[in-house]
Amino acid sequence: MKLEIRNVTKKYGKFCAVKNFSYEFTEGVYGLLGPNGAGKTTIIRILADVLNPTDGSVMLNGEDIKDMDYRYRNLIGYLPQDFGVYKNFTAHRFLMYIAALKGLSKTESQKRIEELLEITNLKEYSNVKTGTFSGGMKRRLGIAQALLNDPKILIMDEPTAGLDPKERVRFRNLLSEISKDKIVILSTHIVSDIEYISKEIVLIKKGEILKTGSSESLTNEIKGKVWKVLTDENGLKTIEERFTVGNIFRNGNKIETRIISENRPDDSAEAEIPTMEDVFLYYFDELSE
Amino acid sequence: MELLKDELYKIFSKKLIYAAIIILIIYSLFTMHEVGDLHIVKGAYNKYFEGYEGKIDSEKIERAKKFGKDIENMDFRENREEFFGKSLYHIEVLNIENHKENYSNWISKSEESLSKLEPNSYKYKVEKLEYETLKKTGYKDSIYYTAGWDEILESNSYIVFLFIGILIILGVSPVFSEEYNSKMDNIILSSRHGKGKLILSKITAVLIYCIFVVLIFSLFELITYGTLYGFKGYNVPLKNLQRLYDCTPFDMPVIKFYLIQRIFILLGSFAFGLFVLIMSSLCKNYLVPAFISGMVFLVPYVSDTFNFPVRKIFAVTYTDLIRLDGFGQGIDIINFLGNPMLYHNFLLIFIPVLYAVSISLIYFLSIRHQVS
Ligand SMILES: Nc1ncnc2c1ncn2[C@@H]1O[C@H](COP(=O)(O)OP(=O)(O)OP(=O)(O)O)[C@@H](O)[C@H]1O
Ligand SMILES: [Mg+2]
Repeated sequence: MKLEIRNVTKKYGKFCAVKNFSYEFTEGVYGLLGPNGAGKTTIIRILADVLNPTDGSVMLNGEDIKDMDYRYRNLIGYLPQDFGVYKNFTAHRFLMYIAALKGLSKTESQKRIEELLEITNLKEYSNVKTGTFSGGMKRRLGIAQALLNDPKILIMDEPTAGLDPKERVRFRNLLSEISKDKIVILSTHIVSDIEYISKEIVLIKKGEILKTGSSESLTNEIKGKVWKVLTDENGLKTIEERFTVGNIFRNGNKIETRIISENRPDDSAEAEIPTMEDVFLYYFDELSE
Repeated sequence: MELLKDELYKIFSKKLIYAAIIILIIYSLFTMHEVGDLHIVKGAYNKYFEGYEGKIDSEKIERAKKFGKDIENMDFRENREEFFGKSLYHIEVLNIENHKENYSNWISKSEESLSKLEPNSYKYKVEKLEYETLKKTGYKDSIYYTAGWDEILESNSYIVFLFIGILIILGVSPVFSEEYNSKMDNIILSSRHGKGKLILSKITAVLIYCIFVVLIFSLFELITYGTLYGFKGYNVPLKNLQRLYDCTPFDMPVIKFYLIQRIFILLGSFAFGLFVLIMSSLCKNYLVPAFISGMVFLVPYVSDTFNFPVRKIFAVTYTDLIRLDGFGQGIDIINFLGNPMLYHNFLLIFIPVLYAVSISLIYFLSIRHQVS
């Protein structure tokens, strides 16, 4: 299976949200990583067939998804970043509705919904109206609906936003479990979501691909550019002016800082092993969550 | 089927529509209360009709004429009800006698012009259609007590059409808008049936909702006027209703015409429902389609009421299609592609075309819709 974005451009008026974007996905987990406004959601929407590109196309195994129409949509599961639920539907009814939209038979849906409510830890809320759900519960319901049709292509926009740490871990494990024969595309600005599970990470900035690679190769590339520096309150100011600073750890009067710098910032600096967090800082010069 | 059930649930789970139905019904019960006096008159009418119903013959005409003379010596303070009943009845008898004369004059005049007019000219065709229709239906020749049906047939164009319009606007405006507004469109558009079957289910749900609305208010009319005046006269030929249908092109019993009227109201309601649906598929906030449809529905009504000239621009409005003002009461002829056509026959061509255009537009717009 090969899902291919070909020279996709999306313009809103004069503003270009995605510029001449090309990429190829095969089975495995992909992470789209980028700061707010980078264009992740725009790309995801185009992949989910809910937004038409201004230019370019998306092809599945060489066939344009616009020509495939429902045959393509039949293969995908999509979790939008920001989506609605019908407030007066119960979780079960909501999932039955989406199952009907996806063309599942009634008996098939019943069974699948049971499973998914279990997986997403929503079983006890099955008959509760979704209007009362918390953000995290809504997100889990969203994950459940995306998985209803056992999609070959799973597209999820910030799937872990609003999930507590325990649920995050559950979700990551779920993904590794189901991603064997699927294309899974996640967008996030939370590095830890994708650091260990993705085959390939796509760094996006201002609608363009900045860099791609596995987390290993990406971290390897900035080896020798991450430093630990011990300083005090005065020193911190100058450091913050001169370098990209990651974590700051205060211990009494001493302050331990993590710095991204092409060269050794000063003699006392110790080289650190880079993480994806550092990669994010290095390329986007912004703090990740 | 599953999709349709959910679409129906979305429409019918809105408390607003039930609140509106209750308010409108209470409102009209109050306005009905105001015509209570008329009710007394009707009661008198009813009483005096017993035994005098049926074809008008010379004996009845004589009696009516005699009543006209006796009236001067009558003391009607003594028995008001009987006086009202008798005078209404006898005036009606004399009216029918006049009507019969007018009718035969009209027929012979029409025959004359038909022989003079150029056959195949548009004027000739119009004259011929009128002649044949009236000849077939005949003229009003009897009096029956039909007060209930008079009211039932009229109440739609009097006020009930407004209720139907309002309910359709309230129920249908959110159908697409709410999906957009609640951001459900994301998930819907990415699903297999989101750009096909779902749209059909929404349209079907709107049809069922329109049937529901028309049924509810039809029942309301039947129950209120039925209890006030009774259902007597349901099998009388339409032309013999007490009011308004003397020159009807419909040659059939009242009950059959009533059903035809309901079907036409339903056809019009669904046409309007589709219009609201089009507006709904264009807007994110359902107040916008509600407002636009409200305007489209009310402006023709208001300009009819106050005789504004705007009215002349549109031959048929959605309001007309639901209101059916004057429907079946006279020979209404429309020039359809150079051929004269009875108005209701024209509607039977016009409405399906309107459906086809509306439904295509709904498909086109909602498939083209994108998330934002
Ligand atoms: N409907 C729209 N009209 C105009 N501009 C838009 C629209 N949708 C998105 N944009 C712009 O396109 C750019 C990319 O937005 P997008 O939502 O794809 O970013 P993102 O990477 O998903 O950001 P976030 O991390 O905040 O979700 C942003 O600058 C945004 O303002
Ligand atoms: Mg986004």
